[in-house]
Amino acid sequence: MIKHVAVLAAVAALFAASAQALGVGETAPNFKFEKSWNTPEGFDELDDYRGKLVLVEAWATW
Amino acid sequence: MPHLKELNTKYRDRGFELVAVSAEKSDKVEPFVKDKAIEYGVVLYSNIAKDYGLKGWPSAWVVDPEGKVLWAGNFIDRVTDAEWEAWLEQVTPGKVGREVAKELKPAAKAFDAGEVGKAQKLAEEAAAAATDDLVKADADFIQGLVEKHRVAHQGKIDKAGSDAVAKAKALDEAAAKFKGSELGTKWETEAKELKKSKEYKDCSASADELEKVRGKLEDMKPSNARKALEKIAKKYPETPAGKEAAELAKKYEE
Repeated sequence: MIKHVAVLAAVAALFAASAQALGVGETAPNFKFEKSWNTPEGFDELDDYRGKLVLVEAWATW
Repeated sequence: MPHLKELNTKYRDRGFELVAVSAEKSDKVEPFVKDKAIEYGVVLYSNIAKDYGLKGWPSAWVVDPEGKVLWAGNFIDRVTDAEWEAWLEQVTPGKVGREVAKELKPAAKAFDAGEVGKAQKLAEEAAAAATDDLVKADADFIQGLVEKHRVAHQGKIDKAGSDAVAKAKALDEAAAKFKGSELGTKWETEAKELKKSKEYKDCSASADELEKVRGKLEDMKPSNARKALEKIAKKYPETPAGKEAAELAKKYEE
């Protein structure tokens, strides 16, 4: 029984995550850069990139 | 991240921009950007995971010129060249992609061959000689395509800011694409003059010296590494590489 509850919870968690995930066709939420390197001069938020094709990649150094 | 470097090199003159977002602290990210001499855009935003509903690292989104998501997933290296080409076509078209009046055929042919400057000149001439509205409309259409390329190159040139070496490189690339037009000549002249300037020579020499030292840093005693970096920083206080050397030297202070 506990196992089933755990599986259900895991499935529910997956659903919750995928429901929130930003998907194709949606508008990419704007965000202000807290700091930036190598970005075009005067660009300090995502919306400054309108008119370009942008790859937003969430990455980590670890 | 070698694939990000590759994408940046391949598509940067076509209205493509990379925004690599980290939620880490600046002192974790900055050494990474500097030590690996990363050229693409790196930014910090601590709420990215929540705002974008992150499912693991790395996650990526391709965003079109209107801000809409075209692709979402974890492995951007799985996107094919054909997919990139189709997306880039919206930003900086490589082909005219439709029939045009016979007066515009030479311009369209030049454009399709990647000779954007030549296409611009031919379209201008055709527009000036045109009496027919349809011919004028086709000339406008081709000039519109040319304009997208101009904006992409101008953006690249502006982005280089005070980095004279990067700026000269962007000007060379822009001048080659716009060869045969007034703008191409203007960019070519700017590149030539920039390369003659002290600013450029210092920028180029300091970048070379820093590259040489960077390769040896790990095998050097920290005190020697610091001295080598400080020497560059002192000799070229105003160049990007000089400033970078000063920053790097701080890491070898203790």
